[in-house]
Amino acid sequence: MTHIIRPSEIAILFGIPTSEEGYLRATEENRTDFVRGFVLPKYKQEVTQPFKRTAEMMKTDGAIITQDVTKEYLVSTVASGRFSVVVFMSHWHDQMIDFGDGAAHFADVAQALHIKHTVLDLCICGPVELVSNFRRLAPSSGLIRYSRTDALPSLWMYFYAAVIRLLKTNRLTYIQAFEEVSSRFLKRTPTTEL
Amino acid sequence: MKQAITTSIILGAIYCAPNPAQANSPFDCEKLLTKERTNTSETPEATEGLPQAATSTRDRGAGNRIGRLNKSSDRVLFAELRVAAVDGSVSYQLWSGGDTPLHTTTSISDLLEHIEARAKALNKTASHLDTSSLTPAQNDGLAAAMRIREQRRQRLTRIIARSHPAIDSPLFERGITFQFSDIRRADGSFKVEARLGTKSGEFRVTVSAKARAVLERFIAAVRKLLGQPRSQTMTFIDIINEARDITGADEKDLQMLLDGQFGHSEFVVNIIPLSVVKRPLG
Repeated sequence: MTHIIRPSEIAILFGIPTSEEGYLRATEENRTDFVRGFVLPKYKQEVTQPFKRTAEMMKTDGAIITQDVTKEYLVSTVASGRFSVVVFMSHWHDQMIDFGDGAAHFADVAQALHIKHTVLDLCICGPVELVSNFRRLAPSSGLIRYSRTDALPSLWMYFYAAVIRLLKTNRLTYIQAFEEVSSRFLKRTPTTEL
Repeated sequence: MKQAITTSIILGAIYCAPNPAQANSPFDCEKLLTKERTNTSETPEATEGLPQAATSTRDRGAGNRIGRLNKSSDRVLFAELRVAAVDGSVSYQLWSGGDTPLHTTTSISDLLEHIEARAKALNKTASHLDTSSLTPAQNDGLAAAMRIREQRRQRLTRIIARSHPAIDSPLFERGITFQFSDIRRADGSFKVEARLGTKSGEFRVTVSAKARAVLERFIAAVRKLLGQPRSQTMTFIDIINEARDITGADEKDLQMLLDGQFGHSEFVVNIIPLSVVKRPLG
């Protein structure tokens, strides 16, 4: 977490549907919560179109993008040690986290996760309680990143695309890149001399 | 089918030399420089010593300034850069008023060399200005204005030097991107950052908001025509700007939205429960 990160060391995993087909399937199966708040045109505007646009950039830069991830896939990716940073974009509601194959209880996820020398970036709406339970249930040497507000998928997809593009062209740690992109979004004085 | 796209960028007086032929207004250019200078913090001392008449032009609009510059091509390096893309090839024209362009080329290196040569020629004109009849205060003002011009010349030279490794391919193939700042100065100019990889330089252009939007569409269209995926040449700043654009929110709402999303994040280490590290952003 304190070393220079290359885009190929980053995995971006999507627990929410990122395609029209995924949306329609999730709506039909009714096993996850995130899609319930959207009609398809809105979902396309806020999720699938930004995904299409940014996933192309992130893949081009060397990051690994995986859609419709299951709990098992998240756990094995974090445990594999292959990635220095695992970004998990999903939704959590009423103690359940959305995955590609349905929702899972956060305690099951936390107990299965072994975050060793990895940054787990939780891009999930207001996961404060989730994080505190992760810390209680899965103490480890990893680093968890989260924020306290509801995450807008479209903006965060662009955010990670910018982080990855920045890491591709500069030798930075993940935290440096994260702060740099945050600062630029907020039009604050850049934190890093690029 | 032929696809032709043309747009133009109105450029302010990046270089501007006093015109000895205008005996009644030897400080015409210095007035303009003073006007720009009052809106920058680079050389505040440069306003000292200028004739009173010079400061009286400060309230004039940017359009007025450009119009004035257009009228006298011998004092202005160029006022307008027109770029046309036809079936994937790009041509550049430098205009400074009149019915014909000062220079037309399809090579960006040739374009830059022309700019540089013209800048040198204008500097030579300026250096031969007869200053014997000027008062000490006017001389000081002139010297200050010359310093500003020299700073600008050096700045553009730096940009040219950084992007000059025998480039014959169009600007966009070289991956040069232009970043417009959102802050429009009182004189109507924008700060522009030219980037090539991790190198960058800054200069200023005067461009209306409408022209700016046209320019951005033009750049996107040229990249498309050249068969170059836009994402390959975007810097991380371009990506951020695109994200800001897609929200469709006005500046105030957008800033609140972004503050909410990116204003605070925490990195938590939980190796030992007591050693929680919170790292708020900003």
